[in-house]
Amino acid sequence: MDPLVKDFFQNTFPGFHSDVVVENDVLLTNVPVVSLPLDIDVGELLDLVKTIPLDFVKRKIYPYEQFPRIQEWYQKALWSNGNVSPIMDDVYYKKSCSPFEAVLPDNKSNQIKEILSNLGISIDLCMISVIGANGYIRPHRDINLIKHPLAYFWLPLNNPLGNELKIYPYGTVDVQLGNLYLLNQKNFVHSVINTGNETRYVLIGWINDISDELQKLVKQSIISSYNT
Amino acid sequence: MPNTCKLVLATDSQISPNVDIIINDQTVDSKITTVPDECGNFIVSFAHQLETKNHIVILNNSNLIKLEDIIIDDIRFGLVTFLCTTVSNTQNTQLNGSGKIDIEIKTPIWQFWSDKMNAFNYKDYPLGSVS
Repeated sequence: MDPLVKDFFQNTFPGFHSDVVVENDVLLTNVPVVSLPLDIDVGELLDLVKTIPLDFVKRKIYPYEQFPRIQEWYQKALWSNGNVSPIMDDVYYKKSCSPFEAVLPDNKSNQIKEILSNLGISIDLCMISVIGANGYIRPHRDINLIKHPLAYFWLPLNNPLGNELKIYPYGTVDVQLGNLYLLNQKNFVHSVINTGNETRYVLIGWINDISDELQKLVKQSIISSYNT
Repeated sequence: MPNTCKLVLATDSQISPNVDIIINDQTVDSKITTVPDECGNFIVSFAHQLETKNHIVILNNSNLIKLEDIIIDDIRFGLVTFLCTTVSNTQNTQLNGSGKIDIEIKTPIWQFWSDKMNAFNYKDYPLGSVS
């Protein structure tokens, strides 16, 4: 296993203790993660997702790399409006990568889109992300030019033993199935691992807008979780 | 965290063989490549037992170089970390007039890497523009 991954998950983190200012535009608030208890029927979503073919995520391996940076990671874009550039192509010159190509949702994707839309979330780009047995994604930051650091959601559809999402310096995310998580992936180093034998399924995506009701819930969750 | 770390410095141009690598006031033996790797970088590699706080100095009076990357025990810090560790003046990406690059590295490496990665803010970097 990649030594950074191993150290990242074996060590205890100090926790996130900074004072937080809750922004009026709440998705601008700079906290590591926000948990939203929405009582989502993840079983229904999981049944749908398991029927969709996935793509193996390939990455160039450089000669100095003794261990792969990602292992057993699969994904699939369900729909994309073609306007999200999720990472920086060149940090030095502040260039974003090209927007993710437009993808029209098929029937199954439309069902998922409707479920999420009913929660009050408008999504520009939605993907299935899957970590197989003994899989991981190395610690990283998804540095990008997207204005709202919390405009990225992480929705676990199952939670098999051995799976972990860890954020530095926050620690391990306490996964409650049915909750939606807003992950500040652009400002905080994070990593996922699956040391078990069962596949982990997650929906991830970039949010265009959320309802007023959901904004209030995000604010409440931040106030109850952090020093505000 | 091993006692002895393998360190690799990747640069944008070939470094003269008489470059000095000094860690915590101790000169170390290094290997310097003469052809670029697949990333287009030249490599200075060496091994050293790191302390909690470490001061690495690269001394080279013969040419200007830009430090592209620091790799410690297969942890590639990348440009982001390079910016964090060496931004100190307007010539921060090259050897300055004194022919010297200073790098501060703390252990444990995973925590140092995580702190640096979290702290980096590309908006503060003086080059380029968002538009």
